[in-house]
Amino acid sequence: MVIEMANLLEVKDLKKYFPVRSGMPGFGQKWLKAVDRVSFTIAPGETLGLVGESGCGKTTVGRSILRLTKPTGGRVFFRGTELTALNGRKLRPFRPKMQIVFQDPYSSLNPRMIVLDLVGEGLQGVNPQKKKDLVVAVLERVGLSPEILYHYPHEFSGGQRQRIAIARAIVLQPELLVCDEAVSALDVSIQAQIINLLIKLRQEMKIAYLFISHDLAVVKHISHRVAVMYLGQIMEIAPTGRLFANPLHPYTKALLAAVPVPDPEFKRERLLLSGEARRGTDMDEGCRFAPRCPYAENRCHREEPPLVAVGDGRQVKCFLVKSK
Amino acid sequence: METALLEVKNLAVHFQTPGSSGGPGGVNKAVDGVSFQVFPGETFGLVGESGCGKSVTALSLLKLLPTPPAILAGGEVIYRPEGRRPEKDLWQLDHEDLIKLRGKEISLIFQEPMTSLNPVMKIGRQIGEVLRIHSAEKAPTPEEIRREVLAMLDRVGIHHPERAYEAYPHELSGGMRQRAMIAMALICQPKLVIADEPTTALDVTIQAQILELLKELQISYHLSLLLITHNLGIIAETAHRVAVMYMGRIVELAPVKELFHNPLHPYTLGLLSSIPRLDREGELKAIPGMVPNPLHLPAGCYFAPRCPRVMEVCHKEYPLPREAAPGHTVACWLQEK
Repeated sequence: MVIEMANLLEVKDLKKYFPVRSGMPGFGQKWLKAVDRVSFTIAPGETLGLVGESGCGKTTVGRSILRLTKPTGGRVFFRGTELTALNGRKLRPFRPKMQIVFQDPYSSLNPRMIVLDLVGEGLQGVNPQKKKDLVVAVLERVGLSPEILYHYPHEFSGGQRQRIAIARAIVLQPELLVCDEAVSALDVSIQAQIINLLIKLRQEMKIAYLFISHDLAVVKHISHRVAVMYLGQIMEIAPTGRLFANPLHPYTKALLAAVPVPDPEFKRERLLLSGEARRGTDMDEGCRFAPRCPYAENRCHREEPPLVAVGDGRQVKCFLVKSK
Repeated sequence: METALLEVKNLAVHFQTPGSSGGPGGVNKAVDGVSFQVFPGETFGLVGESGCGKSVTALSLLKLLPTPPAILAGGEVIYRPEGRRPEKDLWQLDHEDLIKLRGKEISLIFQEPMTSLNPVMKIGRQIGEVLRIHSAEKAPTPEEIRREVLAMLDRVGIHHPERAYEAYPHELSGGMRQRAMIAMALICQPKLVIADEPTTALDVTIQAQILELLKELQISYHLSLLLITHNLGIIAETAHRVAVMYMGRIVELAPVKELFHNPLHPYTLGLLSSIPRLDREGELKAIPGMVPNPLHLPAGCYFAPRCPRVMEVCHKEYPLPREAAPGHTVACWLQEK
C-alpha cells in the first residue's frame, strides 16, 4: 500500500523534442516530440512502471530525468530541489542518488574493467580496502560471490552481468533507480531471478524504481502504479491493480488485450488495433491515439483531450472517460 | 491415424567450435536426438530459451546451416506431401531437388524481416521472383506475376498493395515488412511454413495482428506451421501441439492444453511458474542456477543441476522419453516410478 507522502521525484510537463531534418534549411523546421508534456510523481520507495511500445518515448523520459539528455522543457524536482535549474557541478551531489540499469548488460559494462572497478567506480574518495569491502558487501546482496572481484564481464552470463550492473547502481545507495528494460534481454528463467532480486532490494534498501518496460506482465508484477505512454504522452496512469483489472483508456485496453496469455483455455475479447503508430512529428491536432482508436469521434481528431483525474488515484487522457 | 506431413527422426546437428583465447574447443551438440511430427493443417510449436537448439532445428530441416561449422550429424527428415509417394528424406535429396522444394512446398518466415529481405530490391519484385523461379512448366508473364503478387499483398492485409509493391523494404514499417515476408512465404502455396520467432521483433499490438493473420491464413490455406518461439503465451494461443526443448533435446512433448494444465517435466513446470502473467498474481518462482556450458554437459540429465526434484539416478544417466498419456511424452526419471 502506498501512503501519501512527500514526493521523491516530481516531473512536470517534461518535454524532449528532437529536430528532424526536412526540406529547405530554415523553412518549417520539424520536431519529433519524443516526450511531450509528461507529468508524474514517485513517492519514496515506490515503483512506477512506465510502459509503452517502441518509440513511445519511455526511455527518453528516464534519460531526461537523470539528465543523460537535456530536456527541451519542463521541470524535474528531486526531494523538492529543481534539478532542471541546476547544471554541471551543482548537479553532481544528486547524481549518486539517482542511478540507472540499462537493458543490455553486454554493452553497458566496460569490457576492460574487472568487477571490483566496475562496481566500485562510483565510490570516490574511498580508500582501496574500504572500497573492496563495500563492493564485496553489495555483490553478496545481489547474489554474487566475492570470488568474482578480479574477473572481466565477458566471463559471465547475461543474468550475472545484469546482477553486476545492478550492484554497480546500488553501491552508492541511491534513492531512485531507473530500470530501463532491465530484464528484457534475459531468458524467462533468468528474468524471474532478476525481478525477484529487484523486489528484494526494494524492500531492503527502500529504493524507488522508475521501471521502464514494454512488457506489461513484468510491469504488472513489479509496479505499485503504472503509467501508459503512447507517442510521447501519458495516456493513463493508475494504481497497478486497478489499471489491469479495469483499463479505462482505449489504448490501454488494446494493449492489454494484445498480450498473449500462457493459458490455452483463456478466452478474451481481442481488441485488434488497425494500423500502426504514426511518426511523432507534426501531431498538434487531436488525440494522438485517435487514428488507431476504434471509438474515436470527430472531436478526438480536432482537439487534444487533457489528462484528468477520474478518482481512485487514476488519471486518463480521453474524452470518452468521464472525469469526476 | 493421419500420416504426418513432416516427420523428424533423431535429428542431430553439432557445431565444431574452435578454442578461444587458449581454451580448448569442442563439439557443441546444439541439437541432439530430436524427434517430432507435424501433421497437415497443424501448428506445431517448438519452445525453449536461447541456446536450446530450436532455431538450429528449424534451419537444419532445409539444410540452411552452413557446413562447416555445422555438422549434420544424423537423423532423418521425412517429408510426405499429400498423395505423393514415396516419401522423401530432405537430407538425402540432392541440392537441385532441395532448392525446388524451398520456398515452393516448404517456406520460412524469419524474425527480423529487415535483415531477411533484400534491401535494394522492391518488395513486389522480391515476392514475384519466388513465383517466377518456382514456376517450372510454363513461365507466367510479368503481368500474371504482378497480379498474383498484388493479390497476395492484399491477402496479408497490406492496405495499399500497389504502393507496397513499388516500395523498398526500408520504406515499410516493421509490421508491414513482416506481412510482406509472409506474402513471400505463401505466394507459392506451400504445404509447410517454418516460422522462426515471427513476431519477436514487433510491438505487442502489431504482434497480435500478425498472429491473427497467421491463424487465419493457416485455416484458409490448410497450412502446416512449425512455430519456433521463446514465448509461452504465443504457444498457448496458436499451437496445437508443442515440444519444450532444453540443451538440444526435447524434454516434453504434448498437446497444448495438456502441456499447460498438466506439465510433467520439472523444466516445463519451472518455465511456467517463472513467467510474470497478466491473468495471475503471486510470487515468481525462478529456476535457480543457469544453463550448463554446452561443451561440458552434465553426465546425466542436463537439467539435473537446476532441478528441484533431482534424484541420484538423474546424475548418472539421461532419461529416455516415455509416454505418460496418449500423445504426451516426457524425458524424466520421475516418470519411471
